[in-house]
This record gives sequence, C-alpha cells and structure tokens, in this order.
Amino acid sequence: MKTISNLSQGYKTVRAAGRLVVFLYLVNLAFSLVLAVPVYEAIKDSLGRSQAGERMARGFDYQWWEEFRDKSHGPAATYGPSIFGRGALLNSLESLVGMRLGTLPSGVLLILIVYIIIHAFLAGGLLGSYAQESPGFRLRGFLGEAIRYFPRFLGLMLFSWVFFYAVGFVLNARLSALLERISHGALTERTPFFAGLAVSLIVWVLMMFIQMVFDYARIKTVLESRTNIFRAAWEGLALVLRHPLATFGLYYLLFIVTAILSVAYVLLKETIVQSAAAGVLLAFVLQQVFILALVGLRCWTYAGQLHLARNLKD
Amino acid sequence: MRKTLVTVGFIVLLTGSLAASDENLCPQVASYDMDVRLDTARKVIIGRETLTWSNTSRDSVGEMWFHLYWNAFANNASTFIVEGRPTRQEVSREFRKEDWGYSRVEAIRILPGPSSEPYDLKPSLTFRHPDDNNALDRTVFSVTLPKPLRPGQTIRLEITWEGKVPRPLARTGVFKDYYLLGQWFPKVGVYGEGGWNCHQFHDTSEFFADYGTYDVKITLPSAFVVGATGRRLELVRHADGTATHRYHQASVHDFAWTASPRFLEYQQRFKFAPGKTTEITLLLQPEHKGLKDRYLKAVMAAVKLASRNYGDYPYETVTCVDPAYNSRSGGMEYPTFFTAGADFLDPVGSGDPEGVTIHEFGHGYFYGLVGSNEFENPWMDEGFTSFLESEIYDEAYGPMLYTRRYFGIPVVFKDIKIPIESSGISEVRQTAGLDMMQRYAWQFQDAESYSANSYAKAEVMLRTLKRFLGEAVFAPMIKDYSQSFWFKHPRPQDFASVVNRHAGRDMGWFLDQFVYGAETCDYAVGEVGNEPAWPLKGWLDGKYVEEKTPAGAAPLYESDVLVRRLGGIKVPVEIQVTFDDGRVRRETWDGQLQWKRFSYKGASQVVLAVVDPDFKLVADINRTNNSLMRRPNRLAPWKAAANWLGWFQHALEFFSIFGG
Repeated sequence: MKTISNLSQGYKTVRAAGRLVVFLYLVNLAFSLVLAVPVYEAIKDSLGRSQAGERMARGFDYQWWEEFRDKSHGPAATYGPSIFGRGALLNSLESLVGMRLGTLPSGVLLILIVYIIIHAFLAGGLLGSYAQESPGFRLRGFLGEAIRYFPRFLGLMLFSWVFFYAVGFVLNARLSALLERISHGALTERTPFFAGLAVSLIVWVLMMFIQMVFDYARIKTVLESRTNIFRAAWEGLALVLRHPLATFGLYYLLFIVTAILSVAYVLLKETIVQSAAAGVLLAFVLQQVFILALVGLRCWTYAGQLHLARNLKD
Repeated sequence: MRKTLVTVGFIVLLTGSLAASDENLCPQVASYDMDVRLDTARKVIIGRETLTWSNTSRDSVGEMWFHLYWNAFANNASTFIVEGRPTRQEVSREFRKEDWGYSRVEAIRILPGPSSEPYDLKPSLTFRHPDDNNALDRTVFSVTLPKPLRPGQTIRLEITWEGKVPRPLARTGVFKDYYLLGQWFPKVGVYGEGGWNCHQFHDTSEFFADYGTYDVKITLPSAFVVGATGRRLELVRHADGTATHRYHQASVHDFAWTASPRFLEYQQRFKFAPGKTTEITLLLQPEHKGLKDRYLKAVMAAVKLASRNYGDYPYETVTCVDPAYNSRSGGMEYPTFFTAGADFLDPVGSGDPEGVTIHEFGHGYFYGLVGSNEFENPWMDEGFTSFLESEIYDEAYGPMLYTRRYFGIPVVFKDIKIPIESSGISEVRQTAGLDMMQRYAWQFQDAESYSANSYAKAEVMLRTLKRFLGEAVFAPMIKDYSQSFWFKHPRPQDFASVVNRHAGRDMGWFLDQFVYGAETCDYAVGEVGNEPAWPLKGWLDGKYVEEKTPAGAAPLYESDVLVRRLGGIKVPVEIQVTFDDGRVRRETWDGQLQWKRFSYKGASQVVLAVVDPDFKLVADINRTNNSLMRRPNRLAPWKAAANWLGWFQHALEFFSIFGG
C-alpha cells in the first residue's frame, strides 16, 4: 500500500509540474535533432533523385540501404532496418546491457555523453522543483535548482560511474569469460544461450539497482541538503537496503509500466503503414508521445521515490 | 536401431545392381577398400586401405603423391594454421598434447598385380610442400615407384596408418562424443597435365581428387550412430560391444563419415523426378528435433531443384548431418554427405538452416559431380554453389527476411525482405577489388578477399550472365556445363567454351573481365536536363531566319540524358527514358567509353532515366545511381530520418541512466 500511496503522491507531483515533463522531452528532442539533421542530409544525398527514394517512401529498399551502409560513416552509419519498431528498443537495451557504447560512431557517443551530463544537471532542477511544498515549473526556478545541485549531482554521477564500470565492464567481462568457458565445453548451443541470458539479466538488474541507489542519493542530497556525495550515496544504499519492499516495489512497478508501454508502442507503431506522408506523420507523433511518456515515467519514478524517502523520514 | 537393420536388410538385396549402376557413371580411377577401427578412448583411427589407382595419363608415372591432411592439425607450424592466423593460432594456443591430431603412415607397399611386384615404398616416403615450401608442413608426401607405371596400367597399394583425431580447429575432428571425419585417410593426388596435382591442406581449400569406388568398413562402439558417404551395406554387431558398419559408394572422389551416440536418425525416400528417387538420411542433434521437417524440406527442395537445373542427382543416397555445437564442422561438403548447421531458435524466413543445407548439398554438384579444382579455381566450386544456393532458396522459399539477434534471440523483421540481387553484392562492393577472381585459393590478399571473390563475385557474375543471356539460353547452358563435366576436372576455359557455344558468340569479353579482372561494374545516370528549345534565329543559307513559336502552340524542349560508366567493367547497357506525356524510349549503349549523352527534342520533358532498367547488371555495385528522376521523393528521407530520430531519442533516454 505504501508503494501505491507514494506512486499516487508522485503522480500528483508530476501533474502539478506537468510542463517540466514537456521541458525535459524538448531537451531530449533538441539533442536528438543535433544528429538527426545530418542523418537526414546523408540519407537525402544518398537517395538523391533515384527511384530508391520512391521505394523507400513506399517501404524499405534493402538494396539501397546496403549501399548506404557500406559507404556511410558517422551517425548515418547507425541507420538500418533494426532501428524500426521493436528493433529500436532492443538495440538500446542490448547496447546498454552489453556496454557497447564504444561501438557507436564518435559523433553519436559525444552527443550521448553530453546528454548524460546534461541529464545530471536537469535532475537537480527536477528534484529541486519536486521537493518544494508546491511543486511547479518555472524555468528560472528550475535552472536555479539545477545550478545549485549540479556540482554534487555531477559528483554523484561520476561516483555512480565507478559502480556502473564495475558492473558493466569488470563484472560483465568476468561473467562473459565464464560464459565463454561454459560455451567452450558445451555440446549444444542451449547452454551458452541461457547462460548468456542469465549474464545479461544479472548485469541489467545490477545496473538498475545502482540507478535506484543513486536516485535516492540525489533525493537525500536535495531533501537533507547533503554536501558530501559519499555520505549521500551511502544513505541512498542504506535506505534501499532498509526498505527493500518499498523501494524495489516502487521502482519495479514503474519499470513494469514502462515495459508494458514499450510493448504497446511497438505493437502500435508496427501497425502503422508508413507509405504516405500521413502514415509517417502518425508514426512520428506516436513515437514522440512514447518518448514523452518515457520522460514522464522517469519523472514519476523520481517523484514517487522522493515521496517515499520523505515519508520514511517522517 | 531396429528400423535401421530392417532398412539395411532391404538395401542388401539391392546392393549388387546399385553398386554396378554407380560404377557405370564414370571410370573408377582411384578406388579404396578400407577397414578402419575407431578407438574412442584414445580418439585414434587404426586404418588399412587398399588403393587401386589407374594411370589415365599419357605419361609414365615414376612416383605417387598423397595427401595426409590430418597433419595440418599436428602442430601450429602447418600451412593450414599459419595461413589461418591469427584465428587458427588463437584457437590452437590452448590445445593440450592430446588435442593435436596427426596422420602417420605405418606401412605403404605395392601389392602384387598384373603390372607390379610386391614392393615396400615406405623407405622412399618424402614429405613435399609444393605450395609454400613450408618444411614443417606434413600434409603431402610422395613415394617413388620401383619402376614407372605406364599409361593405362593399374597399381594396387596397401597402406596402413594411424590417425589421431584432432580436437576440431575446423572442418573435422572430435568434440566430446561427436566425430566428423573428413580428409581422414591417406589419399592419392591427381595426376594430370604432366605432373601430380597434390596441394597442401590450406586454410581456404582442400578439395581435388579423382573418382573411384569406396568400400569402407568402420568398426567402433555399437552405441554410436554412424553416417557416411554412400549406402550402408552391412551393420554387424560384435560380442565386444563394437559394431562394424560397411559403406559403399562408386563414382565419388572422397569419403567422409560421422559418428555420435546422440544423433537422432531419420530416413526418407524422396522421389525428385519421374522415376528418380534418392534416400535422404538426416542425422540430427537431439536439441534440434524441432527443426527436422525444415531440414528435410530443404534437402528435398535442393535435390529436386538442383536435379532440374543441373542434372538429375545420380546417387542413391544423400546424408545431411546436423553438427554438434562447438564442433567447428558445420557447413562442410563431401560426396553424398554434408554437414549443415542450425541454432535451436532459428526462425522461419531467416535463411537458417535452409540456406546452408542447400549450399552444402549444392556442393554435391559443384565439387562433387563437377570435379573442378577447388585449390586452383575456387570460384568454380564456391561461386557456382553460392549461385545454386541463392537461386534454389529463392525459388523454394522466396526472399529471406532481415533477421537480427538480440541477446541471442532472433528477431525477424517481416517487412524487410532481402532480394536475391543482394546476395553477395555488398562483399563485391567492399572487397572483391582486392584481387582477381581467378587465383589459387591461398593466394588471395586475405580471407575476406578470398571469400568475396570465390563466393560472392562468382555468384554475382553468374547471375549477371543469366540475366544478360536470358533464362532461355542460360538454363540449358548451365545444365549442359554441369552434366558435360560430371566426373571430370573442368578449368575456367571449359566453362567459357560452354557459355560461348550456348550464347552463339564469344563471351570472353564478358567472362574475362570478371574472372581475370579486379574492376567493378558501375553504370549511372549522370544528368537529366530539360531546357526550352530555342527557335531558330540567325543566318542560314544566306537568309536571315527568325522562327517564332505560334501562339497557343505547346513549347518545345531539348532534353538530355547523360549516362556514365563509373566502373572498369564494360558491358552493353540499355537505358529507359520516360517522358512526362507517358512515352517511354529504350536506348542502347555499348558501355565502352566513359559516358554517352542522349538528346531529345519535343513537346515533352524527360521525367525519368534508368540505366539497366531490367536489372540485368546484378554486378552493378551502385544500383542507386542507376536512375534519375526529375524531382526527388521528398518523403523518403523524412521518413527515414524520423524513424532514426525515434530510435536515437529512445537511446538517449535509455542511457540517461548514467546521468541521473
């Protein structure tokens, strides 16, 4: 019940500062457009006035794409059939769990890193706004909070990277080596397949755990004006370990909502026929609504966690 | 197993006539009677073979050369491993003493016969390394005959040997209780063109041999399910827990076998043409039981369509082996016997395991029946088979669907079909230019170039040739080439002769560019221009002329279409020009110079120009530039970029986990 209550309170907070969600969505869109424009130009140049343009408008011209892929460099090289529908989501998930950031073109990686840092900045504004007695969104106030917490949030981000690195690279590498050993002696591919899934699941769960702990560390920093990031991180961990049902319950409930939303999005998007402008526009609107919803869910998670931390303190 | 014995009983009744009919297919130049025992505890084969070899050349032969392939796995200095570095060396780095394999000739002697006296050849045994002078390679040896064998004479040799089965590095070996035994016995080379053609075991090639009859007795623990080249004639169980399987096949140039107690064995007689049947044996890994029907369907499609396209499959059996995971023995071809490969999650439409099944069966034609020299003309083996594979797959199943694995789980993108024209073209575009197609298999710049030239470029060349000549010429031509060279050793010029004969003209200009050149094919529409025509104004024949367009008359346009040749390959091309009033004109260009301009004057403007509108030039590495419209499609880049944007927005949101 605590979980539901905190979620409900969190939802009210998100609604009260609804424009904040839109603002964060716009930041996401703006960052994406930085690379989408050159990708658009590259595709436009490649299609030119060829008949491949007609075929790509009607469906997907595999031959054109192979040519494009073979000649592309930079962000445009990431364009391919697997970014459609379910592929888009699975691509991101696999890259995250497999820590395949290094395989991304440098331009994409750069934007990603800058966005991550900006996100640490925005998280300060978000939590600062939500922590107020009457949550709302005013850009000046939001930026003030963001600037106020940024040094500490940046520190927390860098500190969290130590754990992400430990899980994503060190543990992952060890588990992969173990997987390799298991595979090596296996007479059937089922063994390494299921072992591989288990490794991915372990890494993913640990990553989510790290995210959750540092979420509470940021919340502690805001609620209790912590200046020591290590203490905040410790308190975040202590809170999670002391109240596992409440913290995990809230986090995973919203995770399940996200997963359901993602599946619904994929199913809907895959039914849209993008062979005319209307279909493309509809698909675009749908994907923007989906991204907006994802941003909203992230805000809801923060708001719910904030209320949980506050209620547990009380 | 009971079912098998019943089948064997039935087979024995047929043996005499079948064996005889097989032997009539071709002269039996190199025939083997073998009796081998597999010691599964030591992973050793103890073998004895009687080789009957006929000198079909015009020369007197004073020595005989043999392959001893398993010595490629004897140490990390063999040509096979050195050529395959770093991969082969990486794998072999962790080899323990018992993992290495070898093949050791214990005795080799001439058996008494009409033209020979008993003679011990072992003292003259000398290792040879004709390809790379690698003194540490022991995959070829020769023996000196006491007196030259004259043309037409036959010699019988008895060879006893011990073969240590290697842990699989590639193609052959033992993994746990799964054995795939290829290139496993001392095998005589091919005598021709004035000498022995007996190459070392290479990273990229291994096949060339004469046809003959194989009669092989294999003794091993009775719990093992066995599959092999040819038909099983006998299965005798012994009191010591072993069993002897006897296999027989005539008119083949190799013999391979497999054994594992885990195999599920399925047999099905298949009628592939009126009055023509073959018996399909499928040896399946238990975890792939669900793929049984797909495997069988693929073999049947391959047998049926290959028979139609390349001549009726002449053997009584075909055995498809689903190899064990980690055995590194998938995708291997031997006469009447091949290994495919599958993953238990392979979805329908992804091309697996159907593609590899068709490919490896297809080698039964281009390597098995058409005995081209895979060492020296690899494209005549792999290229023809790749062509066979994609044509048969496409006909049997339609286009493959784009499939990607996430966390090992395949996801099929049902809307994204991979057209047959895409088969191999990316490799040609990116890599084929590193070498000519016609090179010895181990002489390519690297493995990618070998693959791009031997598999992809040859396949693309054949598909281009097919569309260039037309189905009506190509289909009988390729079938004629296949059947004319069954049980023979054709060279590139033999294929060219068949092409010329069917085309009714010399096609050397076409074939040579692909086979002996490293250029690419790329034709493009460079420009399409439409300008208002200028009325005549000025002095003409001593008179001043100033034409005026009559009021209300439709304006005239001068239109140009510039077609360009961007690649080095020169072929005649057609150009289709479409005007805004719906008129379509076809032009032809010999494609020799760098460009050609077509000009038109009339009331309509050119809205579209397409070079090679019928898509004959499958080898064109840049199809996108083959067409030019008056106006671009504006929706396509927006659509593509919008979808990319959606993916990237999601990725940003996902990776923000690292920021907070």
